Amino acid sequence: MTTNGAAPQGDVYKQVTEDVLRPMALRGPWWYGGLALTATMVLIGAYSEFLQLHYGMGKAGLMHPMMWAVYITNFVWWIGIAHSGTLISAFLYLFRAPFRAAFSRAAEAMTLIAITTAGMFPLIHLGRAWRAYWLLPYPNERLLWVNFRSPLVLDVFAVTTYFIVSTLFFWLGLVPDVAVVRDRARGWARTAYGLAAVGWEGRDKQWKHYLMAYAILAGLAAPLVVSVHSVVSWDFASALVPGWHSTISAPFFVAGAILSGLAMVLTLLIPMRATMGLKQYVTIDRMDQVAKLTLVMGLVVSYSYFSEYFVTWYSKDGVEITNLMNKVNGTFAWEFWLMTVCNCIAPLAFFFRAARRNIPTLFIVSILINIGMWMERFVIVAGSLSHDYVPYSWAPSGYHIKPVEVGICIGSVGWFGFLFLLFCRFLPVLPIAELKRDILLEEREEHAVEASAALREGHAQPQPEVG
Amino acid sequence: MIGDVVGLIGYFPGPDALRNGIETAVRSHAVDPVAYTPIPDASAFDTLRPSSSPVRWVALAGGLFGIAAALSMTIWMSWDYPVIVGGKPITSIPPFMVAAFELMVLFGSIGSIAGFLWFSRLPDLTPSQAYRPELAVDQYAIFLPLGSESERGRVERILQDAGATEIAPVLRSERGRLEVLD
Repeated sequence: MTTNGAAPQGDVYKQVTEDVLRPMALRGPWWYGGLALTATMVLIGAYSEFLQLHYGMGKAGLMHPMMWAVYITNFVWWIGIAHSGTLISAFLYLFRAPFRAAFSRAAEAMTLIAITTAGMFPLIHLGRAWRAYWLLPYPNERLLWVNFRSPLVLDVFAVTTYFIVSTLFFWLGLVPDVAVVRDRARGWARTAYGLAAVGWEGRDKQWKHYLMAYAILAGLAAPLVVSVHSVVSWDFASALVPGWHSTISAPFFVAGAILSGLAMVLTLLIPMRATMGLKQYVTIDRMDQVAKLTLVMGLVVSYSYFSEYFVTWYSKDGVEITNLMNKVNGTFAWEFWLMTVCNCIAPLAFFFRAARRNIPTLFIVSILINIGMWMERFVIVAGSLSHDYVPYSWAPSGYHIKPVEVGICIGSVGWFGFLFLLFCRFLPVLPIAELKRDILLEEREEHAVEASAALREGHAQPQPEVG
Repeated sequence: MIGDVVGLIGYFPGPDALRNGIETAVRSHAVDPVAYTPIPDASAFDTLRPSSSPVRWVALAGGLFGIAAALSMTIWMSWDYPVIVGGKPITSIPPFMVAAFELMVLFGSIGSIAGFLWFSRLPDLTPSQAYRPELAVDQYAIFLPLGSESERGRVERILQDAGATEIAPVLRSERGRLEVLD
């Protein structure tokens, strides 16, 4: 080997790798405690589901006219959270947002875990989950195919596509980082990480194709998430139920999904950065930027609420107005006002810089928005169904959630938390290569500014006189 | 047992040095250079390989296939047992376009992943011995293949001119792998 003597540099890049990989070796009490807590919650959910399967759907509070209630609320809530993860990550990539790296990986993991959680709810709601394959393009015993004009069938296509594309997007982003983990792992872990890294070596040719594939995936994922939550909204909007049958449903659902996802990103990142020693990467400035986005989406959602209520009032449609008033001061009043406070009032705190940069405030507001978004879906699903066209079928006493439904809700939150804790333990929680690229681009920009300043000073110097 | 020298690998102290090294190597008409870097520096890659990645064409083909598959499936299945639902025509293009969009995205995404793997020659679970774990962390390198032993001096000069701080021969072992002789 020959050398020509120049000293190596780049300790900052090595430090980034070490900082991001360090939490994978940590197994503190917070991690084991969290795992035990979430596993217990999963067991509660599993036992509740067992009771429902054993005794039948009567164990749940579903009864005419409310055949859709908590399970579909949970489905839409989790799908909303799932949608915003990839949406945030893909949009910020396409717009080259410099703060993306601080939370893109966590947002993508959140997406993947939330969509698996959401996917369970239609099956739970079916009662006979083993019949779920009827929704696939598969002829029944009379050779009748599924109805492609129904948004319920399109939802199967949309959610399945979203799950696969999100998985690919998440995996592709992981490839260069998993290669680093592979090189340090031993035994079965080396084999597992090696398979995930598919032999990545960071050659220029690999990077070139990688960057193109990643940009295409981001470009496809961004409209996909808009389309998928629009299709979810059409599950409601294409029905004639007052409160559901609205042209604003699709953008309204998409805005709500982004708001709930941003809130969930904050809810997850705040404990993550504190317990995993990532404060120098997930900085207060980054949290401030996420809070600003949350504020904007909170305002969009508030405007959507206002627009929907205004159109209901302006239409003078008695059924729509009665349905709305049943939510405002009827049997669903406290859910409605809790939703309004959490989704419209709470985000307004982020108008203040001090609130955006205060971690407890960020955490509390994010939790309030999570609660508010669940309430929003519940008010839409149960509130609308309880008060439709026929007074005979109204549910004057509202809807009472049964213990089995509560148990399954707890189980779903536990399932989400359990998988997210496993993600924190087994995969790099921040995109290492992207963080390094951000540092490199920042350095180059600083050099360019310095060079430009030096050039300007050079021009400003008095020119020597000629002759 | 170690085989013939198949190339030289030069190590660079940082991403900027690598980018300058790539520019120098390209100007010196180095044949088939390969750069190793842990940082996606698009400007450096464009210098080395100015043509765009063909992955986009595979993604486009996948997307078109998805649209065709979805429209064929929805229209054929609707006519295979024609039932009018809600007064809508058997071939209802607006809802079918939703399925077409979803499958376009699905197969476009699968196409881009397949293209990435195909053109990057992945998966390859037995990495070359020229690869060091540090190349995924904080090392930067350019590998230049040798057509014959007589080219060694010229290739070494290219790497030195490019600013390599270390230069090492890469050998082909009897197992057919590339191996760096430290």
